[in-house]
Amino acid sequence: MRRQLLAAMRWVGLAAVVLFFGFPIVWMLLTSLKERVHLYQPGQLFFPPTLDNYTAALVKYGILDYIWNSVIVATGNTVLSLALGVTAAYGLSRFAFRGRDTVALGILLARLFPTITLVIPFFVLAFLLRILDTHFLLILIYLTFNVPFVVWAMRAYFQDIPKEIEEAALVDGCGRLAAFLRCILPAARPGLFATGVLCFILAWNEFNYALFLTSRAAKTVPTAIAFFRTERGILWGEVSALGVIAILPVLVIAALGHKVLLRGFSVEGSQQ
Amino acid sequence: MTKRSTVHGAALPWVAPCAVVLCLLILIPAAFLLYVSLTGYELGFPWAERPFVGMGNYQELLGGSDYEFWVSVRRSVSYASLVTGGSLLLGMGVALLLNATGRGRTFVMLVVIMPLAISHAIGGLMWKLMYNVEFGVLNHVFGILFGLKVNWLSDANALYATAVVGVWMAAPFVALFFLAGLQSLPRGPFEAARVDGASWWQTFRHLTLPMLRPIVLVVTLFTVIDALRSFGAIYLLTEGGPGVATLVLPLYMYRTGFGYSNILGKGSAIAFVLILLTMALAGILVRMMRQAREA
Repeated sequence: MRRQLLAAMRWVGLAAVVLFFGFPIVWMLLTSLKERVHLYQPGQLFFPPTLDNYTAALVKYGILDYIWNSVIVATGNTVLSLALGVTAAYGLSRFAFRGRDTVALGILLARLFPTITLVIPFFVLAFLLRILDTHFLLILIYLTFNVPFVVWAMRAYFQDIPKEIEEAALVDGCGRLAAFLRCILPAARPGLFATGVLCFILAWNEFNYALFLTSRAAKTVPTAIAFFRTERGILWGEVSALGVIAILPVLVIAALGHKVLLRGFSVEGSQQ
Repeated sequence: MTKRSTVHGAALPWVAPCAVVLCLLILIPAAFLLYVSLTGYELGFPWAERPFVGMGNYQELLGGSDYEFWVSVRRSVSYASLVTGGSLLLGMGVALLLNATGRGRTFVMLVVIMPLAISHAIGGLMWKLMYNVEFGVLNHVFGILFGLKVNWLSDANALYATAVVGVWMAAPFVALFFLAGLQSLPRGPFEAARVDGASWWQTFRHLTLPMLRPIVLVVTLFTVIDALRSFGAIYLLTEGGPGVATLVLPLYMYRTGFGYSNILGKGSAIAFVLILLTMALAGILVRMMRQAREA
Protein backbone atom coordinates (compact mmCIF):
# COMPACT_ATOMS: atom_id res chain seq x y z
CA MET A 1 0.00 0.00 0.00
CA ARG A 2 2.76 2.38 1.08
CA ARG A 3 4.83 1.38 -1.93
CA GLN A 4 1.93 1.97 -4.28
CA LEU A 5 1.38 5.37 -2.75
CA LEU A 6 5.05 6.24 -3.24
CA ALA A 7 4.93 5.05 -6.85
CA ALA A 8 1.82 7.12 -7.49
CA MET A 9 3.47 10.18 -5.97
CA ARG A 10 6.48 9.62 -8.20
CA TRP A 11 4.32 9.52 -11.30
CA VAL A 12 2.52 12.70 -10.26
CA GLY A 13 5.90 14.33 -9.73
CA LEU A 14 7.17 13.21 -13.12
CA ALA A 15 4.00 14.47 -14.79
CA ALA A 16 4.42 17.88 -13.13
CA VAL A 17 8.06 18.01 -14.25
CA VAL A 18 7.13 17.15 -17.83
CA LEU A 19 4.37 19.76 -17.76
CA PHE A 20 6.57 22.56 -16.42
CA PHE A 21 9.50 22.03 -18.77
CA GLY A 22 7.65 20.87 -21.86
CA PHE A 23 4.46 22.89 -21.87
CA PRO A 24 5.85 26.26 -23.03
CA ILE A 25 7.29 24.59 -26.13
CA VAL A 26 4.07 22.71 -26.85
CA TRP A 27 2.12 25.93 -26.37
CA MET A 28 4.42 27.67 -28.83
CA LEU A 29 3.74 24.94 -31.39
CA LEU A 30 -0.03 25.20 -30.85
CA THR A 31 0.04 29.00 -31.07
CA SER A 32 2.01 28.88 -34.30
CA LEU A 33 -0.78 26.81 -35.89
CA LYS A 34 -3.61 29.11 -34.84
CA GLU A 35 -5.47 31.62 -36.92
CA ARG A 36 -5.68 35.11 -35.51
CA VAL A 37 -9.21 34.62 -34.13
CA HIS A 38 -8.11 31.61 -32.09
CA LEU A 39 -4.99 33.28 -30.69
CA TYR A 40 -6.99 35.07 -28.05
CA GLN A 41 -8.92 31.99 -26.91
CA PRO A 42 -6.46 29.95 -24.88
CA GLY A 43 -9.19 27.53 -23.81
CA GLN A 44 -9.84 26.33 -27.33
CA LEU A 45 -7.57 23.32 -27.65
CA PHE A 46 -9.15 22.07 -30.87
CA PHE A 47 -9.04 24.44 -33.80
CA PRO A 48 -8.54 24.17 -37.54
CA PRO A 49 -4.76 24.38 -37.90
CA THR A 50 -3.25 26.77 -40.40
CA LEU A 51 0.23 27.28 -41.80
CA ASP A 52 -0.41 30.98 -42.49
CA ASN A 53 1.92 32.08 -39.72
CA TYR A 54 4.75 30.09 -41.24
CA THR A 55 4.29 31.45 -44.74
CA ALA A 56 4.00 34.97 -43.33
CA ALA A 57 7.21 34.56 -41.32
CA LEU A 58 9.15 32.94 -44.14
CA VAL A 59 7.92 34.98 -47.10
CA LYS A 60 6.52 38.28 -45.87
CA TYR A 61 9.17 38.88 -43.21
CA GLY A 62 12.02 37.21 -45.10
CA ILE A 63 13.05 34.83 -42.34
CA LEU A 64 14.71 32.59 -44.94
CA ASP A 65 17.59 35.07 -45.22
CA TYR A 66 18.04 35.04 -41.47
CA ILE A 67 17.98 31.25 -41.35
CA TRP A 68 20.78 31.31 -43.90
CA ASN A 69 22.71 33.84 -41.78
CA SER A 70 22.26 31.67 -38.71
CA VAL A 71 23.46 28.58 -40.60
CA ILE A 72 26.60 30.37 -41.80
CA VAL A 73 27.41 31.87 -38.41
CA ALA A 74 26.67 28.74 -36.38
CA THR A 75 28.51 26.41 -38.77
CA GLY A 76 31.54 28.64 -39.19
CA ASN A 77 31.78 29.21 -35.47
CA THR A 78 31.35 25.51 -34.61
CA VAL A 79 34.15 24.48 -36.98
CA LEU A 80 36.52 27.12 -35.60
CA SER A 81 35.57 26.45 -31.97
CA LEU A 82 36.20 22.72 -32.39
CA ALA A 83 39.52 23.29 -34.16
CA LEU A 84 40.81 25.59 -31.42
CA GLY A 85 39.14 23.92 -28.46
CA VAL A 86 39.74 20.23 -29.24
CA THR A 87 43.48 20.70 -29.78
CA ALA A 88 43.77 22.70 -26.57
CA ALA A 89 41.77 20.12 -24.62
CA TYR A 90 44.10 17.42 -25.94
CA GLY A 91 47.16 19.44 -24.95
CA LEU A 92 45.78 20.04 -21.48
CA SER A 93 44.85 16.39 -20.94
CA ARG A 94 48.06 14.82 -22.27
CA PHE A 95 51.01 17.05 -21.40
CA ALA A 96 52.22 18.09 -17.98
CA PHE A 97 53.73 21.53 -18.29
CA ARG A 98 54.38 24.57 -16.20
CA GLY A 99 51.41 26.92 -16.33
CA ARG A 100 48.94 24.19 -17.20
CA ASP A 101 46.79 24.97 -14.18
CA THR A 102 46.88 28.65 -15.10
CA VAL A 103 45.68 27.92 -18.63
CA ALA A 104 42.92 25.66 -17.35
CA LEU A 105 41.91 28.31 -14.83
CA GLY A 106 41.88 30.99 -17.52
CA ILE A 107 39.60 28.86 -19.68
CA LEU A 108 37.23 28.27 -16.77
CA LEU A 109 37.12 32.01 -16.06
CA ALA A 110 36.46 32.68 -19.75
CA ARG A 111 33.49 30.34 -19.50
CA LEU A 112 32.11 32.17 -16.50
CA PHE A 113 32.74 35.61 -17.96
CA PRO A 114 29.57 37.73 -18.22
CA THR A 115 29.65 37.98 -22.00
CA ILE A 116 26.81 40.49 -22.04
CA THR A 117 29.23 43.09 -20.68
CA LEU A 118 31.37 42.88 -23.82
CA VAL A 119 28.49 44.08 -25.99
CA ILE A 120 29.60 47.71 -25.62
CA PRO A 121 33.34 47.30 -26.41
CA PHE A 122 32.61 44.91 -29.28
CA PHE A 123 30.08 47.37 -30.60
CA VAL A 124 32.47 50.32 -30.49
CA LEU A 125 35.44 48.30 -31.79
CA ALA A 126 33.43 46.78 -34.65
CA PHE A 127 32.04 50.22 -35.44
CA LEU A 128 35.54 51.71 -35.60
CA LEU A 129 36.80 48.76 -37.68
CA ARG A 130 33.70 48.92 -39.90
CA ILE A 131 32.81 45.26 -39.43
CA LEU A 132 29.43 45.73 -37.73
CA ASP A 133 26.65 43.57 -39.19
CA THR A 134 28.92 40.92 -40.75
CA HIS A 135 28.95 37.13 -40.43
CA PHE A 136 32.66 37.32 -39.73
CA LEU A 137 32.12 39.44 -36.61
CA LEU A 138 29.59 37.04 -35.08
CA ILE A 139 31.68 33.96 -35.95
CA LEU A 140 34.63 35.57 -34.19
CA ILE A 141 32.76 36.82 -31.14
CA TYR A 142 30.92 33.55 -30.51
CA LEU A 143 34.34 31.98 -29.97
CA THR A 144 34.39 33.76 -26.60
CA PHE A 145 31.84 31.36 -25.16
CA ASN A 146 32.10 28.31 -27.42
CA VAL A 147 35.87 27.71 -27.26
CA PRO A 148 35.93 27.54 -23.43
CA PHE A 149 32.91 25.22 -23.61
CA VAL A 150 34.68 22.88 -26.09
CA VAL A 151 37.88 22.76 -24.05
CA TRP A 152 35.96 22.03 -20.87
CA ALA A 153 33.81 19.30 -22.40
CA MET A 154 36.47 17.59 -24.53
CA ARG A 155 39.01 17.42 -21.72
CA ALA A 156 36.76 14.96 -19.93
CA TYR A 157 36.52 12.76 -23.02
CA PHE A 158 40.27 12.77 -23.61
CA GLN A 159 40.93 11.88 -19.98
CA ASP A 160 38.68 8.85 -20.46
CA ILE A 161 40.71 7.59 -23.43
CA PRO A 162 43.59 5.42 -22.23
CA LYS A 163 47.04 6.82 -22.99
CA GLU A 164 48.12 3.37 -24.25
CA ILE A 165 46.20 3.93 -27.48
CA GLU A 166 48.38 6.73 -28.74
CA GLU A 167 51.51 5.40 -27.04
CA ALA A 168 51.17 2.32 -29.24
CA ALA A 169 50.85 4.55 -32.29
CA LEU A 170 53.84 6.64 -31.22
CA VAL A 171 55.94 3.49 -30.80
CA ASP A 172 54.89 2.41 -34.28
CA GLY A 173 56.55 5.55 -35.61
CA CYS A 174 53.55 7.84 -35.95
CA GLY A 175 54.10 11.49 -35.12
CA ARG A 176 52.11 13.08 -32.30
CA LEU A 177 49.80 14.75 -34.83
CA ALA A 178 49.21 11.54 -36.78
CA ALA A 179 48.50 9.67 -33.56
CA PHE A 180 46.03 12.37 -32.58
CA LEU A 181 44.26 12.33 -35.94
CA ARG A 182 44.19 8.57 -36.47
CA CYS A 183 43.79 7.20 -32.96
CA ILE A 184 42.48 9.81 -30.55
CA LEU A 185 39.91 11.65 -32.65
CA PRO A 186 38.14 8.48 -33.84
CA ALA A 187 38.06 7.20 -30.25
CA ALA A 188 36.53 10.50 -29.09
CA ARG A 189 33.93 10.61 -31.86
CA PRO A 190 30.82 10.48 -29.63
CA GLY A 191 32.21 13.30 -27.52
CA LEU A 192 33.16 15.30 -30.59
CA PHE A 193 29.66 14.90 -31.98
CA ALA A 194 27.94 15.92 -28.74
CA THR A 195 30.25 18.87 -28.20
CA GLY A 196 29.92 20.04 -31.80
CA VAL A 197 26.13 19.84 -31.64
CA LEU A 198 26.00 21.80 -28.38
CA CYS A 199 28.35 24.40 -29.87
CA PHE A 200 26.08 24.73 -32.87
CA ILE A 201 23.02 25.09 -30.64
CA LEU A 202 24.68 27.75 -28.46
CA ALA A 203 25.66 29.76 -31.54
CA TRP A 204 22.30 29.15 -33.22
CA ASN A 205 20.42 30.46 -30.17
CA GLU A 206 22.71 33.35 -29.29
CA PHE A 207 20.73 36.54 -28.89
CA ASN A 208 22.60 39.27 -26.97
CA TYR A 209 25.48 39.92 -29.35
CA ALA A 210 23.42 39.43 -32.49
CA LEU A 211 20.83 41.93 -31.23
CA PHE A 212 23.34 44.74 -30.82
CA LEU A 213 25.93 43.94 -33.48
CA THR A 214 23.77 43.17 -36.52
CA SER A 215 21.07 45.15 -38.24
CA ARG A 216 20.26 43.61 -41.64
CA ALA A 217 22.94 41.76 -43.55
CA ALA A 218 23.95 39.35 -40.79
CA LYS A 219 20.78 39.27 -38.65
CA THR A 220 20.18 35.84 -37.14
CA VAL A 221 16.94 33.96 -36.44
CA PRO A 222 16.48 34.77 -32.71
CA THR A 223 16.89 38.50 -33.30
CA ALA A 224 14.27 38.44 -36.04
CA ILE A 225 11.63 38.46 -33.28
CA ALA A 226 12.15 42.23 -33.26
CA PHE A 227 10.07 42.40 -36.48
CA PHE A 228 7.08 40.92 -34.74
CA ARG A 229 7.05 43.38 -31.86
CA THR A 230 5.05 46.09 -33.54
CA GLU A 231 3.34 49.20 -32.24
CA ARG A 232 0.04 47.34 -32.34
CA GLY A 233 1.48 44.68 -30.07
CA ILE A 234 3.25 41.42 -30.60
CA LEU A 235 2.27 39.26 -33.58
CA TRP A 236 2.00 36.08 -31.51
CA GLY A 237 1.22 33.68 -34.34
CA GLU A 238 4.18 34.74 -36.46
CA VAL A 239 6.54 34.91 -33.47
CA SER A 240 5.55 31.38 -32.45
CA ALA A 241 6.13 30.16 -36.00
CA LEU A 242 9.58 31.75 -35.86
CA GLY A 243 10.22 30.01 -32.53
CA VAL A 244 9.23 26.64 -33.97
CA ILE A 245 11.45 27.24 -37.01
CA ALA A 246 14.31 28.20 -34.69
CA ILE A 247 13.96 25.10 -32.51
CA LEU A 248 13.38 22.67 -35.40
CA PRO A 249 17.03 21.97 -36.33
CA VAL A 250 17.84 21.47 -32.66
CA LEU A 251 15.02 18.95 -32.24
CA VAL A 252 16.03 17.09 -35.41
CA ILE A 253 19.62 16.78 -34.23
CA ALA A 254 18.46 15.76 -30.76
CA ALA A 255 16.16 13.08 -32.20
CA LEU A 256 19.00 11.70 -34.33
CA GLY A 257 21.52 11.45 -31.56
CA HIS A 258 19.85 11.89 -28.21
CA LYS A 259 21.74 9.06 -26.53
CA VAL A 260 25.08 10.58 -27.40
CA LEU A 261 23.82 14.02 -26.47
CA LEU A 262 22.50 12.99 -23.07
CA ARG A 263 25.84 11.36 -22.36
CA GLY A 264 27.50 14.56 -23.49
CA PHE A 265 25.40 16.61 -21.10
CA SER A 266 26.20 14.17 -18.30
CA VAL A 267 29.93 14.25 -18.94
CA GLU A 268 29.78 18.01 -18.97
CA GLY A 269 27.93 17.81 -15.67
CA SER A 270 29.93 15.13 -13.94
CA GLN A 271 33.20 16.95 -14.17
CA GLN A 272 32.09 20.05 -12.41
CA MET B 1 56.67 9.92 -18.10
CA THR B 2 58.82 12.18 -20.17
CA LYS B 3 60.68 15.03 -18.55
CA ARG B 4 58.66 18.12 -17.75
CA SER B 5 60.81 20.56 -19.70
CA THR B 6 60.73 18.65 -22.99
CA VAL B 7 57.01 18.16 -22.74
CA HIS B 8 56.56 21.85 -22.11
CA GLY B 9 57.65 22.68 -25.65
CA ALA B 10 55.53 19.87 -27.05
CA ALA B 11 52.34 21.21 -25.47
CA LEU B 12 52.77 24.70 -26.87
CA PRO B 13 51.41 24.16 -30.41
CA TRP B 14 48.35 22.39 -28.97
CA VAL B 15 47.38 24.95 -26.37
CA ALA B 16 48.77 28.25 -27.64
CA PRO B 17 46.34 29.00 -30.51
CA CYS B 18 43.34 28.62 -28.23
CA ALA B 19 44.92 30.61 -25.41
CA VAL B 20 45.98 33.43 -27.74
CA VAL B 21 42.59 33.70 -29.45
CA LEU B 22 40.73 33.77 -26.12
CA CYS B 23 43.08 36.40 -24.70
CA LEU B 24 42.63 38.57 -27.77
CA LEU B 25 38.86 38.16 -27.81
CA ILE B 26 38.21 38.65 -24.10
CA LEU B 27 41.07 40.61 -22.55
CA ILE B 28 41.29 43.27 -25.27
CA PRO B 29 37.56 44.08 -25.27
CA ALA B 30 37.55 43.95 -21.46
CA ALA B 31 40.46 46.41 -21.32
CA PHE B 32 38.72 48.57 -23.90
CA LEU B 33 35.54 48.39 -21.83
CA LEU B 34 37.49 49.62 -18.81
CA TYR B 35 38.81 52.50 -20.89
CA VAL B 36 35.37 53.46 -22.26
CA SER B 37 34.05 53.38 -18.68
CA LEU B 38 36.53 56.14 -17.84
CA THR B 39 35.09 58.39 -20.56
CA GLY B 40 31.79 60.11 -21.11
CA TYR B 41 31.48 58.69 -24.63
CA GLU B 42 27.97 58.96 -26.03
CA LEU B 43 26.67 57.06 -29.03
CA GLY B 44 26.12 59.35 -32.02
CA PHE B 45 28.98 61.66 -31.15
CA PRO B 46 32.32 61.32 -32.96
CA TRP B 47 34.65 58.93 -31.14
CA ALA B 48 37.41 61.58 -31.18
CA GLU B 49 35.31 63.94 -29.08
CA ARG B 50 34.89 61.65 -26.08
CA PRO B 51 35.62 63.45 -22.80
CA PHE B 52 37.88 61.65 -20.33
CA VAL B 53 36.16 61.66 -16.94
CA GLY B 54 38.41 59.35 -14.89
CA MET B 55 36.48 57.72 -12.07
CA GLY B 56 33.54 60.05 -12.69
CA ASN B 57 31.15 57.35 -13.88
CA TYR B 58 32.03 55.12 -10.94
CA GLN B 59 31.60 57.97 -8.46
CA GLU B 60 28.19 58.67 -9.92
CA LEU B 61 27.18 55.01 -9.66
CA LEU B 62 28.64 54.09 -6.30
CA GLY B 63 28.31 57.50 -4.64
CA GLY B 64 24.57 57.13 -4.18
CA SER B 65 23.52 59.93 -6.51
CA ASP B 66 22.33 57.29 -9.01
CA TYR B 67 19.23 55.82 -7.44
CA GLU B 68 18.68 53.28 -10.22
CA PHE B 69 22.12 51.72 -9.87
CA TRP B 70 21.59 50.50 -6.32
CA VAL B 71 18.10 49.38 -7.23
CA SER B 72 19.59 47.32 -10.06
CA VAL B 73 22.20 45.80 -7.74
CA ARG B 74 19.41 44.77 -5.38
CA ARG B 75 17.33 43.41 -8.27
CA SER B 76 20.29 41.39 -9.53
CA VAL B 77 20.90 39.90 -6.09
CA SER B 78 17.19 39.05 -5.68
CA TYR B 79 16.88 37.61 -9.17
CA ALA B 80 20.04 35.51 -8.84
CA SER B 81 18.97 34.25 -5.39
CA LEU B 82 15.48 33.32 -6.56
CA VAL B 83 16.72 31.60 -9.70
CA THR B 84 19.48 29.73 -7.88
CA GLY B 85 17.28 28.67 -4.98
CA GLY B 86 14.49 27.56 -7.29
CA SER B 87 16.79 25.76 -9.70
CA LEU B 88 18.61 23.90 -6.94
CA LEU B 89 15.40 22.70 -5.30
CA LEU B 90 13.69 21.80 -8.56
CA GLY B 91 16.88 20.38 -10.09
CA MET B 92 17.46 18.18 -7.04
CA GLY B 93 13.84 17.05 -7.10
CA VAL B 94 14.01 16.18 -10.78
CA ALA B 95 17.32 14.37 -10.35
CA LEU B 96 16.01 12.30 -7.41
CA LEU B 97 12.83 11.47 -9.35
CA LEU B 98 14.76 10.47 -12.45
CA ASN B 99 17.27 8.47 -10.44
CA ALA B 100 14.40 6.40 -9.02
CA THR B 101 12.71 5.97 -12.40
CA GLY B 102 13.41 3.10 -14.73
CA ARG B 103 11.02 3.06 -17.66
CA GLY B 104 10.40 6.43 -19.30
CA ARG B 105 13.51 8.07 -17.87
CA THR B 106 14.96 8.98 -21.26
CA PHE B 107 11.67 10.53 -22.33
CA VAL B 108 11.40 12.67 -19.20
CA MET B 109 15.04 13.71 -19.52
CA LEU B 110 14.48 14.78 -23.12
CA VAL B 111 11.52 16.91 -22.08
CA VAL B 112 13.43 18.39 -19.15
CA ILE B 113 16.30 19.56 -21.36
CA MET B 114 13.97 21.14 -23.94
CA PRO B 115 14.45 24.66 -22.52
CA LEU B 116 18.15 24.28 -23.30
CA ALA B 117 17.31 23.87 -26.97
CA ILE B 118 15.59 27.20 -27.34
CA SER B 119 16.99 30.70 -27.49
CA HIS B 120 16.48 32.55 -24.21
CA ALA B 121 14.88 35.38 -26.13
CA ILE B 122 12.26 33.18 -27.75
CA GLY B 123 11.70 31.32 -24.48
CA GLY B 124 11.12 34.63 -22.73
CA LEU B 125 8.62 35.67 -25.36
CA MET B 126 6.70 32.41 -25.05
CA TRP B 127 6.36 32.94 -21.31
CA LYS B 128 5.20 36.48 -21.96
CA LEU B 129 2.39 35.01 -24.06
CA MET B 130 1.47 32.55 -21.31
CA TYR B 131 1.62 35.32 -18.67
CA ASN B 132 -0.72 37.61 -20.64
CA VAL B 133 -3.48 38.91 -18.38
CA GLU B 134 -6.31 38.73 -20.93
CA PHE B 135 -5.53 35.77 -23.20
CA GLY B 136 -2.65 34.01 -21.45
CA VAL B 137 -3.09 30.31 -20.81
CA LEU B 138 -2.01 30.67 -17.15
CA ASN B 139 -4.85 33.03 -16.32
CA HIS B 140 -7.22 30.80 -18.27
CA VAL B 141 -6.32 27.85 -16.02
CA PHE B 142 -6.29 30.02 -12.89
CA GLY B 143 -9.70 31.37 -13.87
CA ILE B 144 -11.16 27.88 -14.09
CA LEU B 145 -9.48 26.56 -10.94
CA PHE B 146 -9.65 29.54 -8.60
CA GLY B 147 -11.66 32.19 -10.43
CA LEU B 148 -8.59 34.41 -10.31
CA LYS B 149 -7.11 36.81 -12.81
CA VAL B 150 -3.50 37.53 -11.90
CA ASN B 151 -1.41 40.33 -13.36
CA TRP B 152 1.76 38.24 -13.55
CA LEU B 153 4.03 40.98 -14.85
CA SER B 154 2.82 43.73 -12.53
CA ASP B 155 5.13 45.84 -10.41
CA ALA B 156 4.76 43.47 -7.46
CA ASN B 157 4.91 40.16 -9.37
CA ALA B 158 7.27 40.79 -12.28
CA LEU B 159 10.50 39.85 -10.50
CA TYR B 160 9.06 36.51 -9.37
CA ALA B 161 7.56 35.85 -12.79
CA THR B 162 10.89 36.47 -14.53
CA ALA B 163 12.64 34.32 -11.92
CA VAL B 164 10.27 31.44 -12.77
CA VAL B 165 11.39 31.75 -16.39
CA GLY B 166 14.99 31.88 -15.13
CA VAL B 167 14.40 28.63 -13.23
CA TRP B 168 12.83 27.10 -16.34
CA MET B 169 16.05 27.85 -18.22
CA ALA B 170 18.59 27.02 -15.49
CA ALA B 171 17.06 24.00 -13.73
CA PRO B 172 17.64 21.52 -16.61
CA PHE B 173 21.41 21.86 -16.32
CA VAL B 174 21.23 21.65 -12.53
CA ALA B 175 19.12 18.50 -12.79
CA LEU B 176 21.58 16.89 -15.22
CA PHE B 177 24.55 17.73 -12.99
CA PHE B 178 22.81 16.32 -9.91
CA LEU B 179 21.66 13.21 -11.76
CA ALA B 180 25.23 12.55 -12.92
CA GLY B 181 26.34 13.08 -9.34
CA LEU B 182 23.69 10.73 -7.90
CA GLN B 183 24.62 8.01 -10.36
CA SER B 184 28.28 8.22 -9.45
CA LEU B 185 27.64 7.65 -5.73
CA PRO B 186 28.79 4.31 -4.28
CA ARG B 187 26.04 1.76 -3.55
CA GLY B 188 27.39 0.34 -0.32
CA PRO B 189 26.41 3.03 2.21
CA PHE B 190 22.85 3.16 0.85
CA GLU B 191 22.36 -0.58 1.21
CA ALA B 192 23.76 -0.40 4.72
CA ALA B 193 21.30 2.40 5.52
CA ARG B 194 18.40 0.36 4.17
CA VAL B 195 19.40 -2.67 6.22
CA ASP B 196 19.53 -0.40 9.27
CA GLY B 197 15.98 0.73 8.50
CA ALA B 198 16.79 4.38 7.79
CA SER B 199 13.90 6.42 6.39
CA TRP B 200 14.06 8.06 2.98
CA TRP B 201 14.58 11.47 4.52
CA GLN B 202 17.28 10.25 6.90
CA THR B 203 19.14 8.65 4.00
CA PHE B 204 18.85 11.79 1.93
CA ARG B 205 19.79 14.14 4.76
CA HIS B 206 22.72 12.17 6.20
CA LEU B 207 24.05 10.24 3.19
CA THR B 208 23.07 11.68 -0.19
CA LEU B 209 23.40 15.36 0.60
CA PRO B 210 26.78 15.20 2.36
CA MET B 211 28.20 13.08 -0.45
CA LEU B 212 26.87 15.47 -3.08
CA ARG B 213 28.10 18.54 -1.15
CA PRO B 214 30.99 19.41 -3.51
CA ILE B 215 28.69 19.19 -6.55
CA VAL B 216 25.98 21.23 -4.83
CA LEU B 217 28.39 24.03 -3.97
CA VAL B 218 29.90 24.19 -7.43
CA VAL B 219 26.52 24.05 -9.18
CA THR B 220 25.24 26.80 -6.88
CA LEU B 221 27.99 29.19 -7.90
CA PHE B 222 27.67 28.30 -11.59
CA THR B 223 23.96 29.06 -11.41
CA VAL B 224 24.46 32.34 -9.52
CA ILE B 225 27.06 33.55 -12.01
CA ASP B 226 24.86 32.54 -14.93
CA ALA B 227 21.80 34.23 -13.42
CA LEU B 228 23.73 37.46 -12.86
CA ARG B 229 24.45 37.76 -16.58
CA SER B 230 20.97 36.83 -17.90
CA PHE B 231 19.65 39.35 -20.33
CA GLY B 232 17.70 37.95 -23.29
CA ALA B 233 14.66 36.50 -21.51
CA ILE B 234 14.20 39.48 -19.16
CA TYR B 235 14.67 41.90 -22.04
CA LEU B 236 11.78 40.30 -23.90
CA LEU B 237 9.57 39.67 -20.89
CA THR B 238 9.68 43.08 -19.24
CA GLU B 239 12.60 45.16 -20.61
CA GLY B 240 13.49 45.69 -16.95
CA GLY B 241 10.08 47.03 -16.08
CA PRO B 242 7.47 47.85 -15.14
CA GLY B 243 9.45 50.87 -13.97
CA VAL B 244 12.47 49.36 -12.28
CA ALA B 245 10.78 46.17 -11.04
CA THR B 246 13.07 43.80 -12.99
CA LEU B 247 15.94 46.18 -13.72
CA VAL B 248 18.84 43.77 -13.13
CA LEU B 249 22.38 45.00 -13.88
CA PRO B 250 22.57 43.85 -17.53
CA LEU B 251 19.21 45.53 -18.20
CA TYR B 252 20.37 48.73 -16.51
CA MET B 253 23.50 48.63 -18.65
CA TYR B 254 21.29 48.21 -21.72
CA ARG B 255 19.01 51.11 -20.75
CA THR B 256 21.94 53.43 -20.09
CA GLY B 257 23.95 52.47 -23.17
CA PHE B 258 21.39 51.68 -25.85
CA GLY B 259 17.82 51.93 -24.64
CA TYR B 260 16.71 55.09 -22.82
CA SER B 261 19.99 56.95 -23.26
CA ASN B 262 23.10 56.35 -25.33
CA ILE B 263 25.75 57.04 -22.72
CA LEU B 264 28.11 54.17 -23.50
CA GLY B 265 30.68 55.50 -21.02
CA LYS B 266 28.42 55.05 -18.02
CA GLY B 267 26.97 51.83 -19.48
CA SER B 268 30.53 50.47 -19.59
CA ALA B 269 31.05 51.35 -15.94
CA ILE B 270 27.92 49.36 -15.04
CA ALA B 271 29.23 46.46 -17.13
CA PHE B 272 32.57 46.60 -15.37
CA VAL B 273 30.92 46.43 -11.96
CA LEU B 274 29.17 43.27 -13.14
CA ILE B 275 32.51 41.80 -14.30
CA LEU B 276 34.11 42.50 -10.91
CA LEU B 277 31.14 40.96 -9.10
CA THR B 278 31.29 37.84 -11.29
CA MET B 279 35.02 37.44 -10.97
CA ALA B 280 34.81 37.69 -7.17
CA LEU B 281 32.25 34.87 -7.18
CA ALA B 282 34.37 32.93 -9.68
CA GLY B 283 37.31 33.23 -7.29
CA ILE B 284 35.28 31.56 -4.55
CA LEU B 285 34.18 28.89 -7.02
CA VAL B 286 37.74 28.10 -8.07
CA ARG B 287 38.86 27.77 -4.45
CA MET B 288 35.97 25.41 -3.74
CA MET B 289 36.71 23.28 -6.79
CA ARG B 290 40.37 22.98 -5.68
CA GLN B 291 39.31 21.95 -2.18
CA ALA B 292 36.88 19.41 -3.62
CA ARG B 293 39.64 17.92 -5.75
CA GLU B 294 42.07 17.71 -2.84
CA ALA B 295 39.54 16.22 -0.46
